[in-house]
Amino acid sequence: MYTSRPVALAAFLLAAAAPGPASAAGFALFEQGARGMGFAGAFTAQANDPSAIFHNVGGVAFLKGTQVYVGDTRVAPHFDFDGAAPFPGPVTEESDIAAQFPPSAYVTHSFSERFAAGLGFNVPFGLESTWSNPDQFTGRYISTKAQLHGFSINPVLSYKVSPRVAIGAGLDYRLASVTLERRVPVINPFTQSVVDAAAVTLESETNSGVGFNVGLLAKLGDTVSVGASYRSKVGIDFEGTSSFVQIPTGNAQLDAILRTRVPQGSLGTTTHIDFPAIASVGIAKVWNKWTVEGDVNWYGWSSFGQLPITLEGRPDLSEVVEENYDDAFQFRVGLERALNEAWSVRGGYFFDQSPAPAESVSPLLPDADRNGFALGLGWKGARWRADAASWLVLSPDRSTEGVNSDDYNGTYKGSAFTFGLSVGYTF
Amino acid sequence: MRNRFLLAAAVLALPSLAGAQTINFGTYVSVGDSLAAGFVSGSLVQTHQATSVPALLARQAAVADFQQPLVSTPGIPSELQLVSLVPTPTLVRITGQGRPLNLALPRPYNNLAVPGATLIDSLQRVSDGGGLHDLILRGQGTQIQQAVALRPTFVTLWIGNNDVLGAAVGGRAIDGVTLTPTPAFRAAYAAAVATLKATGATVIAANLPDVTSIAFVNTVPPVVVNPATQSPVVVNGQTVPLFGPGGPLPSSSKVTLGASALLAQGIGIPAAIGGRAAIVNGVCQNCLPDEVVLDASELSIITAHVDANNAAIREICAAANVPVVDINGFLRSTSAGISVGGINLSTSFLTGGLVSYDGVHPTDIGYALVANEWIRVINENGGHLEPVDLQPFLKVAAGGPAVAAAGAREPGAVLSLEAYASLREIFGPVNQR
Repeated sequence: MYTSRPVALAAFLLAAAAPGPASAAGFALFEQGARGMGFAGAFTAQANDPSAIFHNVGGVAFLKGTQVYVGDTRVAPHFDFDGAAPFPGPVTEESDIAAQFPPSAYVTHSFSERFAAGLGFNVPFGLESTWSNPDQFTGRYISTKAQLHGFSINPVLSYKVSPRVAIGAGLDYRLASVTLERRVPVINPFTQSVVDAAAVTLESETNSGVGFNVGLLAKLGDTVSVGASYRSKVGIDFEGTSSFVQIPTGNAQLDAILRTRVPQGSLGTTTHIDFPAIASVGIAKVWNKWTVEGDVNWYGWSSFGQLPITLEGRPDLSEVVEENYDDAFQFRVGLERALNEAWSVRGGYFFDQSPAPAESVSPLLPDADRNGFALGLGWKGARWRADAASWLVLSPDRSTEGVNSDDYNGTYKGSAFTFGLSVGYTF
Repeated sequence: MRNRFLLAAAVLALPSLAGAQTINFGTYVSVGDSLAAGFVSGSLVQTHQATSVPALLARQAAVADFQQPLVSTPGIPSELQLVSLVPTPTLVRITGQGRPLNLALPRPYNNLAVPGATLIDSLQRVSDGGGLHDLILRGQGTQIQQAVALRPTFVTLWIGNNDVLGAAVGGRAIDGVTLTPTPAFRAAYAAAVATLKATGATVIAANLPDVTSIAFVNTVPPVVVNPATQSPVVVNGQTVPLFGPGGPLPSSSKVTLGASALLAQGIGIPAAIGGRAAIVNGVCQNCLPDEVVLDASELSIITAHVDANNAAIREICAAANVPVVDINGFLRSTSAGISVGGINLSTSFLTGGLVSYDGVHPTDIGYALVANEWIRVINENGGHLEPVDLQPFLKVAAGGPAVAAAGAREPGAVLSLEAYASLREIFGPVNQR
């Protein structure tokens, strides 16, 4: 329950930003600046624009003057599902996800040769999984729509411990809201088949949690740099409501009984999500006009063990969704070629390992490994810079291997196309 | 030297060859009782026979010409239907009767299962005076004899339920009367397995569910229930026991669905709270009869028989290399409910989705789930069958409002007396059939 002005403002921003779907495994997002995206996200060891606030806060101390870097990414994911017997059998289901636009905005200021500060606004996590045709979708008793919208406000400080080595730290104030929708089934005693009794929508307030980030960036000579960064786990307790809308079954007697069973109005509801810690290490090297970087990211997804959904006074309608995610790695390589003083082109590849065990791969979180292919373009003037990048993210088919915990089995196929644009200015 | 090496290689190869054997489903024969016949809602009727477990197995195995003793709607006996939910759920039989559709088949049926058949019936009974045995066996020999005559390559043996079920449906547990004595059961089971194995067919068997855990026995509580709220009546902080043969029922007693029509007339409900039951001069008047009550001792006798018979099945089948489907364990696992695609299915009467209107037999959904248990065991033993697609049974993709069943309507209670009587006729004492 937040009514103070800053948070009310934040809630407004949240609605405007509508950041969205996970195009990285789990529900992580790595589209945090178009320059880094051109390197396929391999940017921990360079971190030489204000998106260092996300990628490696150690890089902030190396940024001169006052710099801003703002951008947005259009993320358009799609996935479909081929069912298998025993349930739901040979059906094909499709997602219906509107393109999402997770923004990022960073500002840094150098107070002295050694000391700098910054403020970031970005979307490190987000989820959108909405299914077509919710009245017929065979997974509608599990989930028809899941949204996790949120952003981080990330003030940081950074300090050069030597001319070539800097460290940094920041606070990660994260705000998020959750929306979950599904149908409630009932056996129609007259036909002994399944009918929809109600549609339920869980909507949380915009709730918050706090974590931190730290980073180290070291320049080993003139052409090689190494970086390491860490962003802590952030737990958020969500408070909201579940509202039920009864769906007529076509049988007046059954409807009359259901009217006494389906909660009328809305019920207070709580849930909790632990957003995982992220650790990254990278190394970058410059050869003449070429820059290359390789990174490894670790996501501590094992913190996402359960999704407890508690409806006030209704243990019969409450549930604990077992997720049992595992920690997971990402591997990123990126390459830049400077064409002249102003222009450069970039490209890269990442592999992003799914943290979800087959049991948890579901309409709610249809997760899979991802292969990402990046292309980018940069322009740099005296004070302005602009970057564009695009990712094609392809998931190998993800089978539930017949072990989904809701007995909803089959194969998910996902892809996403993202396009990001960022503009920077140095004062 | 070289030959010896080859011989060794051949011997080493034998176990893997045995493990790779496949089941020949070419001629599939089902021996059993109502469960294998696809009996649903007190009826043998083609709409449900079409999804009997053997029919589903035959379909998954692409068996050609799998013949069943189909009966036209509304079935023999006619199917029970739910005519109203409020104020009291009312189940009655559809008026009329179906007729046999496949009597002219010039060979035994592939699905020889006879509703009501005991294990010993399957070995000995040829006729039952115009009943379901006659309809299915057609004077051509016993179930086992006809199974052998078909020269089967694959046999499912799912029998023995009626050697214990009559005690639960009839509310009396008497060894030799409502329960087949275990030594006789063991001897007959060994004979059945030996005869079927001698055909050279692959035989797969199933054990017996705990018939004291079925909806028929677990739906009516032994206390007075307010029909409006469906929750127990509480007087001075205490629930009010129903009156059975000896007066107030202890909480350990179970009252069967057979009592529901009597309760609707006030029988078994103490006169003190508006019913008709009272103890007058030491005699219980208008109390529930013994046939609809299972006391703790009867329950434990029945369960002991189930356990002993299952031990016999396990031992005989293990010795004969016959895999056993654990129906007993499956039913136990469903009692807390199982989730299929977010739909919780349970054995709760009327609302759980797994038990049909007679409170004893599964619904089509229930049979499809049971068929998948069979398929799991078949596949562990050389089969390669796809599981049955449950979607057409649950009708989830169809969406849209459901339509209430239409048909004859007559006043009654949860399970009409007439419907209960016909159930007892089919699943009666083992020594009177």
